[in-house]
Amino acid sequence: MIRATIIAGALAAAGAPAFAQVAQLEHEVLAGDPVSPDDLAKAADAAAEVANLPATPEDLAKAADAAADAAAVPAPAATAPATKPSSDDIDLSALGLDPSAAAFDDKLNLYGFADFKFVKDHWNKDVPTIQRDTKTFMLGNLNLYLARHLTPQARAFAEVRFTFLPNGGTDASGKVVDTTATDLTNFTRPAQWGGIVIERAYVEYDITEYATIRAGHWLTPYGIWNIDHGSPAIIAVNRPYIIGEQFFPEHQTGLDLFGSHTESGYKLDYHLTASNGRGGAEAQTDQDSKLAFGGRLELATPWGLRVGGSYYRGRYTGLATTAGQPALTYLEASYGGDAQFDRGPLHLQGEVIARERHYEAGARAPAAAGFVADGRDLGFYVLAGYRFDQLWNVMPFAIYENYQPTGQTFFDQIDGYTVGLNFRPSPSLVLKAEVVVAGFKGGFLADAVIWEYTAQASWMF
Amino acid sequence: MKPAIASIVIALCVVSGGLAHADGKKLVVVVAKGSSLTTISRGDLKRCFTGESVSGGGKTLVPFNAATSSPDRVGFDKAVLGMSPDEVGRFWVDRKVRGQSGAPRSLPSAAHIAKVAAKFPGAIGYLPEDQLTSDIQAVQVDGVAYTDARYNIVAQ
Repeated sequence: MIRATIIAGALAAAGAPAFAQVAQLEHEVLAGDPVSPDDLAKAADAAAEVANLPATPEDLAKAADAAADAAAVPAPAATAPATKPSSDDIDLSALGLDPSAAAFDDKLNLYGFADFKFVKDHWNKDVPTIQRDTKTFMLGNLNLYLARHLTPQARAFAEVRFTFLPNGGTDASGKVVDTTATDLTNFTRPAQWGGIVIERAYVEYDITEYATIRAGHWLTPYGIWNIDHGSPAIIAVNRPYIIGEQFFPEHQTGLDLFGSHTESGYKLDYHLTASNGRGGAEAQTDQDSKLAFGGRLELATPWGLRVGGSYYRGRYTGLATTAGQPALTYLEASYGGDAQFDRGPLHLQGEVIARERHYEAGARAPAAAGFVADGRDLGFYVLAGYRFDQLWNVMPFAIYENYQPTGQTFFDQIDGYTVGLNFRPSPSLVLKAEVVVAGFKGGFLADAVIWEYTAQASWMF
Repeated sequence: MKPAIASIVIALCVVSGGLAHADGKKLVVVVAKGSSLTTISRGDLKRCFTGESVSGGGKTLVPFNAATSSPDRVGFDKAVLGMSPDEVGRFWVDRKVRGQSGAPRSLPSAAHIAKVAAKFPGAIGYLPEDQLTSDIQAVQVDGVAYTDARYNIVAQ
């Protein structure tokens, strides 16, 4: 009986197909999972199949010997396997790893992302100065990242966006910009030149495990969308109004002290910022010599919920159009809350943001009738998505957003609805298709509704 | 009948003791021999391998991964990070787009991981239990040693 048992076991270990079920059970047994009567029955069935496999007497004898040898090996749960000496023929330097050199990757890393989309707009009625139906292709972003560790504690990072702007845009005076020039290197044929936008450029240093200081031009640490930043990481194509309208400044130039602490699976992140604030030339100079301050707290729970709150207060001062003339200036305070929940394939996120503006006497922005009043802009969005592991990992998603600006002559409120699909055939390639229906209330665009159909491909390189 | 079935099952367990994880070898978390890091929580291990700064044994830990798509990598990512290969890929791409750090460096073999863990201060990696060498030491996860039957970080 014992010999028969060993033979059956040895045959199974030799790789008989029916062994798969037994191996699975065995794996569960070793992992400490409870074994049900059904499992035992399956094992019995599998073992019976093994026993029915044809075998020669020699095979059976060899199997019995192998089984006997194996039986002499102590169970792994009782004793650690013997270790072997380190291999000297592994050449770490061939991988750029040298124990005598810096213990960090000090190479310059170049990477980035780009996106391309097709947009078709349709308005439900004629709106002056706006074409009722349009459709176009557009290259949106071509962003290049440059990152390098300077020391184990210090890193440098920059992101530049290559753009066809300012061609086709309007300048501060409202004049359309045409950058067409003759290309002397190509028989003076016309060429349109573009520009670059410095999205980020900073150096950061780890002061302690819980505090890092960042100096330079950085994305304002608020909410979810602005941090996700690039089209491959963002679920939808179009930004919600509260993000696109920059209730918080998208970038700031100054210092950002940040860090985190984790305790019992709960992680608390913080940011404290001091910057030039918003302004006509905010990255190069603080027009009003008044620093802006802000901060963020975020709590991440072990069960997939993250909640955060952000604050910013500063003075915007524009560029004077004529020397000696007062520039547009106002004091602004922005505050918002956000929440994100991820549980398996389910993804939920939402942000609510308010911005208050108080103008200086004599320095208000002109409006269609008079000047812009002090006031508070308010808005929010909620997004729900569910990622499947098939059909290019498709994620159907839906967004509802509401935007209530003050001092806007075009409308008082927007309600926007978006439904779409986000495909990720590979982690670095994202395909999106969405429909946005936005209804305007009040003002110049009262009762106007825009239908926007967008398809986008974005990729990381 | 039942004793016979039990005997078969026991025999299979015994016979394949060394083969117990032929398609799911236990993955041992390792650091240099002599390190004061002898145990790490699964949460800290996850944080360490998802780009956050984690200290252990008086040093900032520097994680090293098994090769992408290898059974060791897939098993570790699933057991510790709770992510499938696709999810892991999306996670790291999204982090890089945000400007955050990229994935830990991947090494081509368990022997490389053993060597790096032994030679680099603060290096931490994982490898199959039969690839342990004399100059590295196993680290318990949540106080559970890899020799314990409850240990469930296995190759896929």
